[in-house]
Amino acid sequence: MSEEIILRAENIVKSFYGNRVLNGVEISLKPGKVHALCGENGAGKSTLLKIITGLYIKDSGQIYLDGKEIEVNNVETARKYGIHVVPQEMQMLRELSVAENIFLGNQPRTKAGTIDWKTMYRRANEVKSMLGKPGEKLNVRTKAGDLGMGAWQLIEIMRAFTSDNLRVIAFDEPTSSLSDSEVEILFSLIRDLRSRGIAIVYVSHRMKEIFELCDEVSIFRDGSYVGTRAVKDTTNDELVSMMIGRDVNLFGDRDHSDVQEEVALRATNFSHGKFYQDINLEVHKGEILGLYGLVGAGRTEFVRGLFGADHKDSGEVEVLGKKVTIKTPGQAIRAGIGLVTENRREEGLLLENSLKWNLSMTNFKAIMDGLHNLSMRKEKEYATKGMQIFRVKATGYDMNAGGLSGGNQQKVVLAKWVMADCDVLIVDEPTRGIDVGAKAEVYRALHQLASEGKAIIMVSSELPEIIGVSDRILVMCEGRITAELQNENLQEDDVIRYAFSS
Amino acid sequence: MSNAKINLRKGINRDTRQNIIVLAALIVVMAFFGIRSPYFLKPANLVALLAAAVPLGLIGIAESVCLLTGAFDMAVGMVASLGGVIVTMLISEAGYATYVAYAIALVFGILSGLVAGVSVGYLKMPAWIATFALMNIWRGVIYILTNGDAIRMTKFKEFKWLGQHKIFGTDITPAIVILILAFVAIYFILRYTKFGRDLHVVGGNPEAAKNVGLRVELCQTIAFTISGFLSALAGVLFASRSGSGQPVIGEMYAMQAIAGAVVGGTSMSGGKTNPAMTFVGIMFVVCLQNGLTMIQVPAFYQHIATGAILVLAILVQTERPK
Repeated sequence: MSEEIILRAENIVKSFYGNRVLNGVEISLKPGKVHALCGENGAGKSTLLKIITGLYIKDSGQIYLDGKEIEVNNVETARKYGIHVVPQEMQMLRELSVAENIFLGNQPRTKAGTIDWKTMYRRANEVKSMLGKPGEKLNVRTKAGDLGMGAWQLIEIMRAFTSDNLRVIAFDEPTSSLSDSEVEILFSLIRDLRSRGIAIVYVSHRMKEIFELCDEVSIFRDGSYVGTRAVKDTTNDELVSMMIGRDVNLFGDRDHSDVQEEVALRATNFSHGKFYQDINLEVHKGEILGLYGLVGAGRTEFVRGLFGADHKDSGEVEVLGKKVTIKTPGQAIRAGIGLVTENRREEGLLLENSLKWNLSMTNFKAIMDGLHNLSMRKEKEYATKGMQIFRVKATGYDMNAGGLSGGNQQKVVLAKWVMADCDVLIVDEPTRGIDVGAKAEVYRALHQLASEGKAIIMVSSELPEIIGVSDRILVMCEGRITAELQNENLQEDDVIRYAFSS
Repeated sequence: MSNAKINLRKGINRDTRQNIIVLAALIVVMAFFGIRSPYFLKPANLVALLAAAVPLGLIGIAESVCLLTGAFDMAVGMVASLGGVIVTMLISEAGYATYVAYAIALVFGILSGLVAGVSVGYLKMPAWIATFALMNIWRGVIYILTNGDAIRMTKFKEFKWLGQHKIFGTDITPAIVILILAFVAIYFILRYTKFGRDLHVVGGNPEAAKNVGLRVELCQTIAFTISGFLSALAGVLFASRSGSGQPVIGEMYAMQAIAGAVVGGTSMSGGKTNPAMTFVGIMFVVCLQNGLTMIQVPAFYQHIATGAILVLAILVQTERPK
């Protein structure tokens, strides 16, 4: 590589709670190039971005700026070196003006130490003019709360412009919340930055954008670096196979013999605003239906709507041939539907209470005595059984859920729903954040339920899991179902191509 | 077997440790006052302590039920005061039959709790500010009704039965029995009924509660309604014992009851309480108050003591990053 490199990171390692999420990855950024970072969810893209921009501190590895090693321990240092990020979740103080948001924490001061409003608005207008055309309509005195996501992104970019030595700017999934015209504006801005010799990192799930905008692309997979390609020398297929190419055999052998004729749940005509439109599906008794899609495809929103946990505009549900009204989770549960939510720890656990209590909260009927009071004896038996299903590692059912490791907490939430005896169980990202051994146990339990005639809808963005476990696969993209596939000799790219917008 | 071994090795858990500390603190406080004032540990005074603990004990239950769902009820004290004022005025000035007056006062408590519960549960108002507002409204009503003067009930013997009758000639009054029954009932409800468990789930993790199909709003409303009822009950029993309707008696109840509940291990953020330990916590507050009076510490200093207990209890309970 003879070209000049502004920033190089190598051998970057990062673990959270003993779980290694980056395993010696590298990236090299060149002036005037847009460098795409690609990989499945959980591949480590965002983590690396956060490390080079000072939000996370690496465990080990080196970062070089202009060939000299630097330590980036916080956002201030990163900014001093001219490294900025436009985060996916933009943080704006809605009640403050655009100018105040641009200079947040960095306000110009007068000699007396008070905020120099005049200078602040003057400089805000200066950085605005650096945006060129897109900035023309923006008034720096407008409240941020009165503006849309597109304008917020401009504010984030202007924050970077306040630095005198902007060298590197990173965009984390910048288009996920933008309209088409806002995307156009963003792209022209990024091209403008490129022409000024700034190095740009661009994280996106959308392959189309990578080919349209980027010069180079690096692929990560499961926290490891796979390779870097020049965009003009690569193909969609090559990138996809680099992203998913791993060997898989966690899932056991699954024939489709458990699938019965009878339809357990039929959902018709489900829509909710921009989240999902016109979703129809049915799942049979004994069937595991995989619902695949990238983050933001609308899968989670749809199943939460189905379960009555979130609002929906329209949608009808039949369970075992009977029409049911579902507006609240209570109605869904009474209709025989269970949902294991994506954010299990936050939405599913009583951290201050015992495992016993956590396990029985979905199924009080099972632990009541003849007088409709809770039976301590039945509850203990129930809890013992629940902990065995997933081999929860705990000191006993009297232990508080808060004392368990993350993986074991997940097992408890899964167990409480598996034990709830639902006819239809929806599991949203059932193996997110748990180790391989626990994954295998989860798959085994799902198969067991299917063989007992339960219907399962498994939402996942992990392709190997979808292909390894499901009988049938629905793919969602941007709020719609884009494919229905019988899971017979499917390859990963047979599925993934329906998940990217084209 | 293996579980027991692991438990032994890991030692006792945080809750048990806190309970032991609180029990030890109660014993230390009682021993201290016992030494300073020989009268303090006499059986007669211990029963008197229980009698004195009736209103605060009932309000302690009320507060722990609200705290269990993750909310404060600041109105408890003024509901108690107004309950006492209502029952005494109805009897002494409007000539109502004793039991009718009692019933009306208790219905007032239930309605007040219902208003608070609907405000918090369904209208999503922050609990402490909603009940704080309610407290001030009731305080205003009390002053309008009484001009701030106590209502004397010397002639109405029947009215004083609950608070003063000596059961079988002992010092134990019907009010003490009611207090004990209330603790037993709340213990049973919280531990052995689905409703009690629902309250834990709602307070421990409202999202989880929603996801398992519980009606979070309804649970909160019922919790506040229970709180209103128990507060009014506390107020009428106090009036019965003191033989008067006291407009200002409830000023400190909310703080003292929260202190007692929190000392007893009730979580300030919801989802955890222990009625038996709440009783211990309330007795701790009452003993401190009674003992300080007995060793002739002026009443004003007792406010400082209540505040200090609350701060200490929260200090013990708060988990800090290590």
